Amino acid sequence: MSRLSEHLRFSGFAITLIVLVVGFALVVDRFATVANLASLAHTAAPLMIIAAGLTFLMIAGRIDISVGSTAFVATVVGARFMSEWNLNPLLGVALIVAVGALVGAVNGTLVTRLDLDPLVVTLGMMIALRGVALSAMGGTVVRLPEAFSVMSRAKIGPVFLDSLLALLILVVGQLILVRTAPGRQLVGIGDDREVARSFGFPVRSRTFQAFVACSALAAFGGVVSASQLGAVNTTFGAGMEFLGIAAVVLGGTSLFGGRGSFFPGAVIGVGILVVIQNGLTLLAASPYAYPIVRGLVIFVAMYADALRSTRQDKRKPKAAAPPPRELQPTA
Amino acid sequence: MTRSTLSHDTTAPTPSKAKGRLGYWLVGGLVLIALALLVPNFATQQNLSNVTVQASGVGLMAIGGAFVLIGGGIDLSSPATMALSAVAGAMVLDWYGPLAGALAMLAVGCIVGIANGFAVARLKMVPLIVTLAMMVTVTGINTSITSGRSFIVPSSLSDVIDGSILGIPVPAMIFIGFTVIGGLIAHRTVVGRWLYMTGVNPEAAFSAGVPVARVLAATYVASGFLAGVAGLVIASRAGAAGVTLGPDVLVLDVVGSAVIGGVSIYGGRGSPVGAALGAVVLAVLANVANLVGIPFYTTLLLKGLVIIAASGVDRFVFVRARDRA
Amino acid sequence: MTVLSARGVSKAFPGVQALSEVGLGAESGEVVGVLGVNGAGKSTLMSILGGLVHADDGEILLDGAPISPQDPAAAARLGIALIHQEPSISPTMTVLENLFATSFPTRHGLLDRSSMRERANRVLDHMGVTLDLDEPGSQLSQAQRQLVEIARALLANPRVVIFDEPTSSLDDNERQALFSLIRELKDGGAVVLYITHFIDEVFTVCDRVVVLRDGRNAGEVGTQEVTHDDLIRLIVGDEVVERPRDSRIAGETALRVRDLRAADSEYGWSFDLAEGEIVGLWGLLGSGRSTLLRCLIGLHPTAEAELEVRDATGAMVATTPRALFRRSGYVPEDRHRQGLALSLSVRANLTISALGSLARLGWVSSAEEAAAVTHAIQAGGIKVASSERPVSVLSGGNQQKVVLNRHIIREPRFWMLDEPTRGLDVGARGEVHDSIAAMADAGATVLMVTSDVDELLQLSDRVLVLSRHGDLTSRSAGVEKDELMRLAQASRSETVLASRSETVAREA
Repeated sequence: MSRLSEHLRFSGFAITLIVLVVGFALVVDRFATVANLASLAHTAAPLMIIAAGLTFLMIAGRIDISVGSTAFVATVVGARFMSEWNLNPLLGVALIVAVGALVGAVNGTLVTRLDLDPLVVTLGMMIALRGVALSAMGGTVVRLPEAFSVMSRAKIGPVFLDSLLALLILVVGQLILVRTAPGRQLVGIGDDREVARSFGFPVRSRTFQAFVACSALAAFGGVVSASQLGAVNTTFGAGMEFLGIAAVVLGGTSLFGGRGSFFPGAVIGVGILVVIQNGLTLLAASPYAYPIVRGLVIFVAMYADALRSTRQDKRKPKAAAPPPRELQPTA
Repeated sequence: MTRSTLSHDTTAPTPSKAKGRLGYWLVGGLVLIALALLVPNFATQQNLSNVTVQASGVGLMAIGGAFVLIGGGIDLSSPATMALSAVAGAMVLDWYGPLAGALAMLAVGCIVGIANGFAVARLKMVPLIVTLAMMVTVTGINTSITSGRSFIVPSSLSDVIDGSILGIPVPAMIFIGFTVIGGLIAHRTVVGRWLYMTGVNPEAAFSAGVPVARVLAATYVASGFLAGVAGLVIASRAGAAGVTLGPDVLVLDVVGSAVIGGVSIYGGRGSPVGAALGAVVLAVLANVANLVGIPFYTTLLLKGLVIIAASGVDRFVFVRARDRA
Repeated sequence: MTVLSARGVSKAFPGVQALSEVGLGAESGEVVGVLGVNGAGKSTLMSILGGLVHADDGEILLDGAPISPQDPAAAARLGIALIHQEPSISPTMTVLENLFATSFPTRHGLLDRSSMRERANRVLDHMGVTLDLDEPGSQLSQAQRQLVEIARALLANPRVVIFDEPTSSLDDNERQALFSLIRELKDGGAVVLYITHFIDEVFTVCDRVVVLRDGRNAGEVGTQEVTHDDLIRLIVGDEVVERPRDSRIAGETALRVRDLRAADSEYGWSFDLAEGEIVGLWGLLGSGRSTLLRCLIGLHPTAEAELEVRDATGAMVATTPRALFRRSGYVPEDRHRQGLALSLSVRANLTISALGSLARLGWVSSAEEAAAVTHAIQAGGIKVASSERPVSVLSGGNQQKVVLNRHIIREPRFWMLDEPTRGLDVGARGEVHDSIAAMADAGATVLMVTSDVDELLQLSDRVLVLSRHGDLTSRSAGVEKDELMRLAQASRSETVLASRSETVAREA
């Protein structure tokens, strides 16, 4: 009962997803089959992992628009090491995640230490890292070892392994967020940095860690995506950042921080985007319809959310008179 | 992103910042002269006019983007809008002639801008998400109109827009013209003054009687309109209009130009003129890199670093200088 | 046994001597009230004890040993808990999490929710309060936020508990619960310092009262030894406030307000304002002074408002809050948040409200703007090297003069001033007061919200007192301070409801 209001926040987005699923199931015969739903979850896995990373960061009230390029550069570096020097695939994945974490450390340092704006920093990184990745490719396509394709096709029952892995990451993310002190601190930081400081939260280091987690998960999402494709091409990861942010926001995570969830939030957000694509494809709708529908769904869902948050703001108690900080006038 | 989340007390220079920034642009000018002397083929008239033409498309959108950023918002949809208006214009042009075509481009830009402005100022939605959704939607509409094809922009229009008068390329004239107009609006008009006040402190602006919502909406309309103008220039240059004119990544050049030009992402600071110059910097960078044979991907790396460095310079040189004041 | 004592504590802020050699002592199991008008130095003294502010001079002893807490956490370790007027509550964290945010108990790396719950319930039971532990902070009422802040402080078992205006948002039941909690703390041997504006509360909970005035000790008495009126006199002092300005004969009614009702309020306010009159609006913290002003000019949602202004022909015509706003020079309460664009120039901040009259077809005329800026800087006595300097480099007083004088250019008929001298030093206050008097002398109508009684009596031709329950009473300029205090303290039951709107009509 008490958590009801919190869950209600998802409801708009959850209802959107349910309506989409039920609608497509009624209209398209092949939609509600186990095989199709499993393949849908398979397609969704990389985006879910990337959305998980972004959720960490966006809950802390920050943003990263370089996740696509981060995934690109990390996967390329790992793939080259594996193909040129026969690096063990497991170590290859570790290397990829480590490169991602390094990128996150750079982003995090620029934002938390130099106090630069995250949007601008990650905009620069997005462009710069794409350049690095392209030059590291040494060609137009980098192939991954065969082991990756095998992994990506692996199933447990009807469900693809990578879908389960993505789900596991989201559940663990949710556990960290809700059940651990650092997770709660992240929420507090995203809510209101001043209040967080007054509680004595380590605002800088938590934010830094969120950047590292975001980029590391982006890199991991990249390698999962590459394993499905079998190779990395020159446009790898492009547009991933916008899709990822849209998914996180559609999962009910606030752009202003302090509010959101991995599970079910990010699952719902990614689900909406993937179901639209899959359903429209099965409907044999014009392939051009998908972007329009996607844009409109994001818009309507966000409008509904904006309406609700305005109403919530009205219920918030008015802040009393601010403390007399003007006791210390400037100059 | 709003100032409430990214709260950061970067307060900023006044319209007298032009003086403070003089050194910044002086360095830029010196670099340009050095390039002219050092880089073969850079200082030819042909190349310089190429650079200006290349800069003008992005630059026009950056001017519009600067208005939005100064007001405290962000517009990610302008390249998509640019491409849609180019396509719509090319179609109208087919039926009703070049003037109607050109007007259609501007009109489409304005319509998208009005939609963005309404959503942000009236529905109080988050600018980043509104314009992100708009980017996706507009590109979607464009893709379904064109079904992936390109429309030829007939020479009746492209010859005029992509031509030159007295040796000066018309795109350059349009670009410079709008840079001047943008600068005048920002610094000399009532609306411009309202805009800065709104960008720095919307609550104070409201208390002082500024029509905050209308001012904010107007910035998005300006951005949409200038995306239409950019569509006119870019499509005429390309001789064709299609979805590919405005890829998503182009928005990075637009926002990057503004940042390099000293426009703050927190609002209330910078100038459309700076954003226009920022677009020239990016175009020169790409051009010189090309002339001296730097590979494309290294150019991307340089671009990214320049954007981060520019925001660092902004933070540590200009904001520090102000704090000491 | 004296647990806590402060001796010779002084603290200066730029332009203001907040505390001069103030002393205070409290024994185990004692509840000491700290009283004083706004700006008397109560909050500064408590902030020093709580580690938020560092004293310039003097010493603080805990159990006889000198301490100087560097931050609130250090104070907490010493067993001193400062319960703020404005609680720190994270809106999306639950009540439970908010209670333990300063130190989350964990087990095996996970939050130990069961022990959190248990401890929270124990403290809340002790307080006699029921709160839903799973409710997010954003859903709490102001009173509940206050209770969470108190419970958080009590979880640490403090020896010294400082309450800063704890009851301004509590209802009667919550207030009673708080009082019995304070008695329990007292029985447990803790020291309680209790800051309040409400004198009747002092008699309910405090053993002894320390009164501060102008940053000095003004007196110290046991609550058994004094009466309500004695205390009021001690708080406000007996010096007579000089009025620099002769009470003028007010002109004709300029604005008639009937049943102005905030959207979140049950009852309305009615009053008249005359031409050339300065009306001071006064009340205790939480009485809704600012809300009334903001409702009047449409900055706070109103449910109802019947407004009439005198037009050029002398007839009273109906108007709306927004229209009144356009005719008014409004000076907001918080000049940094609501008044100024700090990074913009003095010029840009000065002319922002008058651009319409300085521009032709939307183009700002540099010459006219420069002339207006020069005029405003001179008229307002703003000290600035160049009008192109950012307004952030000005002192607080000069910043406030910018906010005031931005409207001078427009020559508004009404001035709506919300705490016009808040945080200013004595010199700047005087200058702002001169400006306000000049406005009225020029025939404008001034409505001024202030929490400072001296300022109220110095400037106002007439005083509107807002009681803590929202009743509005009008008094003429010569009203005594203790009468004001009594009116402001009055609770709903003590006022004659029927006369509410009538008493407000202007006294002849």
